[in-house]
Amino acid sequence: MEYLTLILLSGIVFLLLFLFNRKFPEKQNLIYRIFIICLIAMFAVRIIFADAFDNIIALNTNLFTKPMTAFLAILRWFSFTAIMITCLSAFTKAKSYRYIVCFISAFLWLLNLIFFKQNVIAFVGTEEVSFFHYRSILFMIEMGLFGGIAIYELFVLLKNKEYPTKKQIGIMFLVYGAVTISCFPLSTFQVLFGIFGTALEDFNLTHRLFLYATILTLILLFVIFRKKDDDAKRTMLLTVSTSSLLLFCYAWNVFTFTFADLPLHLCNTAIFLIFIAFTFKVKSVYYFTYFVNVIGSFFAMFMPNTTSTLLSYSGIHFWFCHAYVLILPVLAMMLGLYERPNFKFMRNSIFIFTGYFVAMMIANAWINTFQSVDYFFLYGDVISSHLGFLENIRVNFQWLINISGTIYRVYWLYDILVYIGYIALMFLIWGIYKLYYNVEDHYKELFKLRKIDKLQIAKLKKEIGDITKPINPEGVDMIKITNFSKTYGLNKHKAVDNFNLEIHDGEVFGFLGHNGAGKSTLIKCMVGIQSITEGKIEICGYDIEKQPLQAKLQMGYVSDNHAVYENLTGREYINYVADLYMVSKEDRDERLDKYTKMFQLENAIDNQIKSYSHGMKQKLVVIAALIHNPKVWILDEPLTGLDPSSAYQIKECMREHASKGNIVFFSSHVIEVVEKICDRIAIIQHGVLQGVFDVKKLVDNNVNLEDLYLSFVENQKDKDVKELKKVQKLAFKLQNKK
Amino acid sequence: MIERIKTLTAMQLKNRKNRKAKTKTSTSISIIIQVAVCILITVALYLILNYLNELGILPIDTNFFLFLLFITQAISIIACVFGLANILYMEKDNTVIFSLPARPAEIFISKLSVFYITEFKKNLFFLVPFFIAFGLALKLGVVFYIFIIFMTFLLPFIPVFIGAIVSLPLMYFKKLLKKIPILKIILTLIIASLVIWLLVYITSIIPRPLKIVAIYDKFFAFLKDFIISVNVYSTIYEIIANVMLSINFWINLLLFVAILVGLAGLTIGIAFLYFKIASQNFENSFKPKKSQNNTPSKNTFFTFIKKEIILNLRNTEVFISHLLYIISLPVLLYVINEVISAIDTNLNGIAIAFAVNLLIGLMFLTATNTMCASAITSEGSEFGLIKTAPSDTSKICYAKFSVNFMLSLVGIISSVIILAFTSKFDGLSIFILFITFLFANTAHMFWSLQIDVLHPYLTEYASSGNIRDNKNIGTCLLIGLAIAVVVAVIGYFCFQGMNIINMLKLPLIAGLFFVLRLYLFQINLKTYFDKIQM
Repeated sequence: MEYLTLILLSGIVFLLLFLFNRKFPEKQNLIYRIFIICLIAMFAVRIIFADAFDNIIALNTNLFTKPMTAFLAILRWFSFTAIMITCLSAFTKAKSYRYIVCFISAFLWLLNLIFFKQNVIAFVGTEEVSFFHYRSILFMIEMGLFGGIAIYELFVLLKNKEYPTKKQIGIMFLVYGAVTISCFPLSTFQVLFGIFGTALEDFNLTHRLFLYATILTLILLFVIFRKKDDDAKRTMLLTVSTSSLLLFCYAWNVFTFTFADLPLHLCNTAIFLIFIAFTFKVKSVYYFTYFVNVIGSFFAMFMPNTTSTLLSYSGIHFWFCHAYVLILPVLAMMLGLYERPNFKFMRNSIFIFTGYFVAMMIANAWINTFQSVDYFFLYGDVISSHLGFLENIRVNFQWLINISGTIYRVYWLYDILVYIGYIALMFLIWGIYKLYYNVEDHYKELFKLRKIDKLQIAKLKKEIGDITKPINPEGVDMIKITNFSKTYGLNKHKAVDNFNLEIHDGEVFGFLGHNGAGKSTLIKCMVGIQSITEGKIEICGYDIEKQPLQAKLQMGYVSDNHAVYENLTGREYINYVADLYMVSKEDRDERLDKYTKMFQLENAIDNQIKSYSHGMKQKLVVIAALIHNPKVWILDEPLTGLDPSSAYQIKECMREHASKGNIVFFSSHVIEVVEKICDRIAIIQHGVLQGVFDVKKLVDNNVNLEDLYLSFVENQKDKDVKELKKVQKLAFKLQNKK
Repeated sequence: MIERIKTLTAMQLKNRKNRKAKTKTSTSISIIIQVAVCILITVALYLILNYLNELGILPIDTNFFLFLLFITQAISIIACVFGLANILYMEKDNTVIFSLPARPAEIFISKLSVFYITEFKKNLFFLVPFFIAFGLALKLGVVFYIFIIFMTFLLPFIPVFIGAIVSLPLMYFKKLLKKIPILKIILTLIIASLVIWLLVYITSIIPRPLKIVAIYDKFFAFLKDFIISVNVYSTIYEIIANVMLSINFWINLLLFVAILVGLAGLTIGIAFLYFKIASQNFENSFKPKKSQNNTPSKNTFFTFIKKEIILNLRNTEVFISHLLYIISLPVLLYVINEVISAIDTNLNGIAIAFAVNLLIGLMFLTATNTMCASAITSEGSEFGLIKTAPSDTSKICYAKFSVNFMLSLVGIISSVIILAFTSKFDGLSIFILFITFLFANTAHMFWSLQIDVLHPYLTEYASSGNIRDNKNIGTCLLIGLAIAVVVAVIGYFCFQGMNIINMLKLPLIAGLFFVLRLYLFQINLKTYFDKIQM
């Protein structure tokens, strides 16, 4: 009789779905959702009733044989999962969910049909169950809907020949398996194996296992879903939050429901809030759970206020629910489904929390007049048992309100302190979140950069084979700067803009410009101290960005700040530099001897540098730059602050170095010096190259270099602008003449 | 004159300020957080005072108030003496400031003003909450709270003035030590020996077995006597306390004003000697060295190691601090274990003792890893050379790490040897302690190095010449403290019941932490070292 009725009901649902979809083909989704909502309603009704089967411990029952009890426990668990997925299938595009409905739900419906009677006995706990028992009727309707929907979906799939591939079938089983674990009904373990493990307390093994499992679950879900699309991530969160809601409600018994069962404890409320946040995409609710509930569940998990055994009915209820409340908001943020919170979200969360807090104070005061409750632990001594000093405050600062003879009790100071403490914790967790965001951003950036670096090296290897060879073999005897630009940080202003220059061997090249024109910026990029924003710099054919080691080996650099280790001796410093440039002992002996004599440092070379004068330090830096006999010698304002004889020695050294076929490139403010020793000069103003001039040509045609320089500088009050422009024009004319 | 002092003060303050541009929101949030911290400190102090009062063993009265005020201000005076000796006479910006068209006395006053502002800010976070908490605990009237406002402004003057006065002879003494570096080392060793002797003496007089509960009353009676005897020497602060508590108000107020004026007068007197002393610090005398040879290193790593060793040995202050460090840790652990060994302990007690050893040891060890946290920063302008060198200069990090590591290793080994002879722990426990110290501390070194690789303050160091305001050091210390606490907690749990498998989990966790930090340091170094810009 029951079997026939169930088949009939399923048939009716199938037929109705078929007819409605045929009549309104454009509203198939809506029709499907209406049927699913009916199924959800029936499923929800089943959940709020207690089942006699859940009281079985380790298969000991008179109702069934042991194998049958074990089979029923597993069937109930698997069916629970299948019904939940069927319900969710209406709200997600995930294909695997559809296949589960078609194949697994249909199969489980068939099993439930066959074992219908045993199921009903499991509900009511007696073998004598009439056909008209309310649990029998409810289950029949539920199964009718479940079966009708599943078979209809299977029918559509077969009709449209949308057969899943082997991979899709594999994924289907994987998804079903994962969801089955996530909605582990509270009683299954107890029914199969009895009460197992010890109570959660004092970081004992059970407690630790529970904590490890929670953290591992979070990591595992993050690793699995981090690269999936947003739909898959949302489906997962929706599924898990639904599981947690169902598991939470599974513990209810509508006949023995009390005020204490109301989900008004913070973590219990969270189960509903998380479900609402993910299902209806309510941002403010999500951020509330992210800031407020995560803290609550964290404390609940680390200081479990339960004596239940880990794998008992209530133990599983406790840790599954709290673990979900801790994991889900954090996981949603880690997966990037929500933007990182700002103060607005925090403020809103504080507002909502304040409302909740006040409501709980009132609820505690009111309900405790006729029934004992302790919502959010604002009434009892749970918190003060951990923080002893609060107990005196709790007991001594009470507000007793007498309304019509009933005394309402509010522990006002204790509640205020708990409130302040919780708000402080919210700010603390925000700080921790921010710390996590920083770390996450940093390592994302790091791995991105590493990938880029690897790709660049691979590309270079592909282009030139051996990366120790010049990238540009034609440029081995020159410095080549192409379309170089440089900006600092996020600043949009270009310190140097689209700079192009070629300097050849044997040249002493002067670089002129006002303070802040971009001279030092260009030099620092040339020697590899600063990065290049755009363009390319080649030193003797080596790209300074792509082949930094090879390019640097060609260069000697004298900085504008003659920075040296003051506690080293001059010789130690030179040896230090020589070591960095891998200069042989013979070469360093010979060159050091030569240059110390040239710069008259023989008597000071073995003294600590801190005893040197400015000029001596500058000479030491010059020796250090020349100790490896570089092909390119770059000097940034080398003559600043030097006495005439020291300046002369350095100038002579520059000329001599260039005469050996090397390149000397230096920046300076002193026009006379530039005029005397340079072959060519470049003038830069506000980061833009104004022109490159041949000094000999200018001198031969009586072009005053100072006037030429000033012609590029704005606001020359003492000079006739027209005259200066003439000089500039002449200089450009000479430059273009071959 | 006043205008010039104002300008100089403003200039120095701006220079000290965080260079990061702050938005209005971030400033507001920062103010809110600071106020919240102040409130929290006040509440915490109030609760502590209330708790002590409730216990009834230590009366929270005017004597206790005076004692705490005296102790905190004494610490403040010591900090001011050393801080001002550096800021007034050693700061690198002196060369710039002295060239400005201002009288040396004006520069002196501007520097004192800057220091006063710093002290004032510090007081806001401790002194004000302390006063308020005391006022609440003693249920004092409104007048007391009004005086808090005045004292917040006036009280920092005393340590600053005393600091300015005492820093002058201190500088003379420092100069003498600078002239004769060996004297400094001898003096340090003498002081260190005296401290060690004192500690050993104190530990030797601890009664065995030490029953804390039995000496509870004795201890607090001693503490009460101690407070009264210390207060005898706190004349100035007794006057201040009397003013605040309205005891013989007018006489005490008069005395307080007289003291402030007197100190200010003396400080102004010092101002005229200021330039003479401060300018001498720019002058270098040198001793010619014997001729040396050019000796190439085998590789870049040895080049850096050689440089680090030379620089560390030639810097007497650094050398002494290293020496003190090597001596201090084993002595500290010896004292702790002597006290612990005097107490009869059960298994849980041993776990606590082990955790305390871990906590103190790691707090000390990690605090010395600031060398790693300023590895790149302390190169300053010299880092330009590293950037332009055609070799793998990232090895400089490992060179700096090696020097720090060697020092730590000496400290750890000597500590472990001392513990093996003095503590109650068995061989396995000592071995676990050694391995845990080694792994956790080395991991912290890598972490500290990584912080500096990611955010070196090269320009700041190049301009100031010191690492005092370096944020990386603060972060390094904070992380070190966190590591010490976490490892101690884990150690406590692992050693409960003295189960060998549980005990071995501690070095395993420390080892995993070490491997993780090493890996993270490596990838950060490889990715970001070349991207450091000057």
